[in-house]
Amino acid sequence: MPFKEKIAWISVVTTVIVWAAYFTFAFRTMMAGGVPHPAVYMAAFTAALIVQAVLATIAAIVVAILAPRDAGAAADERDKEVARRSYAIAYPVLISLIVCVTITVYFGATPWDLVNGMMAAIVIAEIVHYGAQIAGYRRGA
Amino acid sequence: MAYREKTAWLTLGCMLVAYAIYFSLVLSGHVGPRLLDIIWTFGIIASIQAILVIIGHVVLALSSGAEGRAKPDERDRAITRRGRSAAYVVLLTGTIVVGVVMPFSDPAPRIVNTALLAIVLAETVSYVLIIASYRRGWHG
Repeated sequence: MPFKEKIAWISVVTTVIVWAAYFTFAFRTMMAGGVPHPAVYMAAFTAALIVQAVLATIAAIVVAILAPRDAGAAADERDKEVARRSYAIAYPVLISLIVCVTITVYFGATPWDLVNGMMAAIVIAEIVHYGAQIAGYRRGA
Repeated sequence: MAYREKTAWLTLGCMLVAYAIYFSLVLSGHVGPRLLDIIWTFGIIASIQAILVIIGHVVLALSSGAEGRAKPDERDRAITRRGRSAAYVVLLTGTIVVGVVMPFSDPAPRIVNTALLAIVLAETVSYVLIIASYRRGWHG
């Protein structure tokens, strides 16, 4: 498996795990009818960002140690093409989600609803981006 | 100039004129704060822009002969993807500003219009990069 594909797998798995945990917390809080202090939300949000960065970095270091030659190699034409293709697929997804989330501001969405909606849009677009990258390598694009 | 480059110039030109008009109206206070006001103004301008782009595409296709009827080749597709990949990063940055920073400090109309501005900026970057790729003879 190419190094870049392994990194894409790491990114998609850490994204799903960390943000699923964050959105579960946010959803349960919303369903319980409680609005926690903004500091609690901010702490959870920041923790999710940090945990994902730490997990992805550790996993990438482990993969790089196991295959140092692949990790040190510059991205070749195929890597660049797979990356461009995956961004091109995720781009319209992100546009559509931004429009949908932004409009909710007129339907009673609170600032935190908007933050969570936008983060969900980014997370979904990033999952599509990494998913397309993995599919690109799997199909041998 | 390649047919695809001409269409990119056309789309970019129409887009810049249309959204310069829209955001000028917003800044001068001619667009009301309600969602309907924004959708109405933006919808009219975007529709006129789309009609002009379609007419321009037809004219360019007819005047370009066989090149205008040909499907995009591998290079055209690679250039489009290159533009979109740069646009994605711009849009991601805009999303963070609109979705994480602005909800706590700005009113609803400004949030909606900034989101639209982020999309327009991303599309502009995409078309500028597409044109630059054709100009510089980028081959993917």
